[in-house]
Amino acid sequence: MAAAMASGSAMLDPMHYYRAKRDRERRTVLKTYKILGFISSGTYGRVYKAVLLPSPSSSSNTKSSSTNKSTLPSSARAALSIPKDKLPSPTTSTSSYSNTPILDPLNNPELCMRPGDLPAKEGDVFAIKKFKPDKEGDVLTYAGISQSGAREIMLNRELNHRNLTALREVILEDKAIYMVFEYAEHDFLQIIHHHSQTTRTPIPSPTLRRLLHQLLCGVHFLHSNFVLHRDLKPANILVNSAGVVKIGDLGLARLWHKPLAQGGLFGGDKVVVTIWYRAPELILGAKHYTAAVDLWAIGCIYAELLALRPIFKGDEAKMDGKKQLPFQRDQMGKICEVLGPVKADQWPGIVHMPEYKTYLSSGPYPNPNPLPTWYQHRSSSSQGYDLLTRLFEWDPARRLTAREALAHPWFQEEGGVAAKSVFEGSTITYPTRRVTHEDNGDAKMGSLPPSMAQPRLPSSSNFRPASANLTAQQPARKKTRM
Amino acid sequence: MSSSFWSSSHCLHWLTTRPSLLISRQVDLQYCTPKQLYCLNIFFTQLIQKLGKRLLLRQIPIATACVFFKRFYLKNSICETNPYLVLAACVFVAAKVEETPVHIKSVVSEAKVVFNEYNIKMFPAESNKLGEMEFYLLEDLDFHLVIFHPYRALLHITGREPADSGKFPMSRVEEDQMLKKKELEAKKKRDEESRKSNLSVPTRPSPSPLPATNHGNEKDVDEIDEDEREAKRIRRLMGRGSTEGIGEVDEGVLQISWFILNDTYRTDVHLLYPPYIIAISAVYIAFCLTSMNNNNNNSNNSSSTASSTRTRTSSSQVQPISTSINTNQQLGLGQPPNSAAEFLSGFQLNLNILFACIQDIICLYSIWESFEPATIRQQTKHLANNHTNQSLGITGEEKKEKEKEKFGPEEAEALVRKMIESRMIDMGHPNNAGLNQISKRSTNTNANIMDNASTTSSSGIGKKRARK
Repeated sequence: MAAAMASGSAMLDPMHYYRAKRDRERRTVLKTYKILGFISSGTYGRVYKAVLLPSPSSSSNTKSSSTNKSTLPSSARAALSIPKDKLPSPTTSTSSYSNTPILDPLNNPELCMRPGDLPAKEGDVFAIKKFKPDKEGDVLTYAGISQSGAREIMLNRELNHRNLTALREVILEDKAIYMVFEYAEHDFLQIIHHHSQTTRTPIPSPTLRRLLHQLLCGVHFLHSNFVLHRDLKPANILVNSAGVVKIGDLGLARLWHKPLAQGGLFGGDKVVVTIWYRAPELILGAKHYTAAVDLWAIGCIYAELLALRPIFKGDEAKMDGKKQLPFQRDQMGKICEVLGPVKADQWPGIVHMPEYKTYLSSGPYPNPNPLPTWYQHRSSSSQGYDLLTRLFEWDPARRLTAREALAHPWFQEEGGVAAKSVFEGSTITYPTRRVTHEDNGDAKMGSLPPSMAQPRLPSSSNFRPASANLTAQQPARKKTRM
Repeated sequence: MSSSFWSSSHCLHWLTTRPSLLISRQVDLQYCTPKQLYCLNIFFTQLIQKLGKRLLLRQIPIATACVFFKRFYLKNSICETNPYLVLAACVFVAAKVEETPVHIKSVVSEAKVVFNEYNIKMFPAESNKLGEMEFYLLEDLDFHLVIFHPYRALLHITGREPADSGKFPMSRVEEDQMLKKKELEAKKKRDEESRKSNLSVPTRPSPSPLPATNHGNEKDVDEIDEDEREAKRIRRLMGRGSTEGIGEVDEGVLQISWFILNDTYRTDVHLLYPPYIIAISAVYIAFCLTSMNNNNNNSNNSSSTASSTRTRTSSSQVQPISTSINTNQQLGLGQPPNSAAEFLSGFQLNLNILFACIQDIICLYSIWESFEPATIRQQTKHLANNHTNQSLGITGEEKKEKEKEKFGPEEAEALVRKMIESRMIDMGHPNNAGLNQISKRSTNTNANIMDNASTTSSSGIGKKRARK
């Protein structure tokens, strides 16, 4: 194919032909999906709600304005001497599609699926996570995919479980990464908010039990695949409209069975887990930690589902531009207020923790242990209390594992957790995810024409700390960002 | 899945067959001979290794980069790409995947240094070019980034690392012993209490509870264990799925196997066979090499597999053979196998596949030797090479002949340039003109291979295999 090639400039760059071929085969996000609106944003980029379009030849409702960037550089187009009307361009989008046969793989999304992509049908809804492209001044450049992007692609591509958000496909376009995930209508944070702000009632205990059980199922799956999540928090745990829990955001997760490089787990990421959900061994500076850090976070989430607010709501000590990580005194204090200070027999290994001395000197911590009273205000199940205390075990070696937690008798109470949907038997209807139509500076991903775009609505009134590596690691970020 | 090879993307999407491997190389084979292409792969692997070393990467990320590179060229042709840019991108991505990231700028600058050594001028020393290549690379890898290397399989097979390492805080034996100890203590407590109540002596806890009488009690405890706990215990131990104590291989053999695995990244075996086959092949070759050495020393001429008197001298490492026997005894399992043949036959696998893989690995050494004589590559010099040389019995005359038709790194670099240039010319010409040129060129080069092939016997094997 493409026999006639302008050889003059091509001689200089052997990648010329390759690039042209690849670019031609590349499918674009906006040819495949219609953006319905904006969901949320973070330092990593933005998340959009989108719907899978029918194959272009059979429809005409696609937005023509969005494909304003041809996928093929003009030089390549000239080199391949492809007639202009065969290429998607702003003016010809719909009309040219109707001329191309459906079976042309370049125009039919279903036919250019990769091995490992998940099948989907027209009208299916997805959440598209767009990683922020790198910029040099105002010009987009390639500066390498970030470590968290690489992790998320690697792990989501490999792992498949009912309680993990499924990755449908990854699309690379215009120097940005788009990850297309299954859409989940709710998340733990939104469910908690609905109960605390709107209905002002506790979460029904069967729902709570199933939420936690499915969360543990997902985490057990991750752990048995040698993956630590390291950023479990209500906002990252989604629930779809069928009432199935879906763990999301594997950007901080990592495989740990491989021979670890110098520094072990600590080497790569200095700070992990959002502050309120951070396990004591992490606060005390453990360089080698285990899957138990995820179980502590689950304990915190469990408590938050019961109380409808975070149980250890400490203030994060920020780094003052110094290289040394600060001791999270306030967070440790908040934990001790509820659990009481650490006793030697509860955690013999604490004396070996790097920050043990800082911990001692930053005391004294209040003595009373209000956890039993705290719990009695919210539930009367003694099994439920037992599970909570075992998740809040100081000593990571004694803390329940996900597998042990799943076998806890509490899950058998009140009819157990056999129901597939966490909402089964509950009369509460949760609000759907808020989707806004502002394009927020990213003209390409706008769901409305600019004239109709509204100013941005705040997505949540409550301030929440961001994931660990995105805030506290800011100075270190340059290093890990490749 | 990242815990099971059988459900991984590696197994499901990236094991291919030799015919499809050949098809993927058709375009390149229009511009070079199969042997030259084989040498080019050695050349590129060498460059990946050098670049990785300069970036202070360990063997696993380097190995991952090699596999990425091989997978990329299942879909593309060397002559239509810039292989140096591709290999730098492979190293860059592999470093991230294996959690030892390096900065894009250091990849570019170190790559420049490495490529300068080989007089390679084609590499664009710009980080945005590398970043762009990363995108293309990820796409061509279908975003499948988790790779199962045979190193882990090797450690499991040889009993160095339990299959579940890391998942459990202690080994099976430790766990078993701890539980037994606990039970023993509990029993002792119970005994003591009952004795005390029998004697109705006012309680005054005796300090350490009589270690002397322990031995007498042990039997009773064990019996009770068997009654109450055995079923549970077996279930627990089986649930661990550990390979501890299954096999034990001498340290020297393990070392050689490990080196052989390092070398396999110059071949195509990682695209063709699952990692455990590759690992067992390496162990097999290592056994053969060591037993041949033993034979030479003892001037003993028995067949190679039967003479598996393992040298148990240098086991300074983790688990000497005695612990393995102990493990098996403590867990009530049979003796570990005590000959190499028995050891290998313990794995239930298809021998045809195993031998095909072994053949593929052995083929490498003579071709590699002709490409880069061992004196030049010192870091990789080891037993295996020496041995193939000896067994091939290369005479001085043959060596001279080889020098005449030398195809080394320099020639490889020139060939890559030529291939790319020719391909571009062919792509630029009208169809017919291009085809003519190709056919002319390929007849020329074919004649060359024939000469090359006759020099060493095993390159002949390589060619035959490649033609299949």
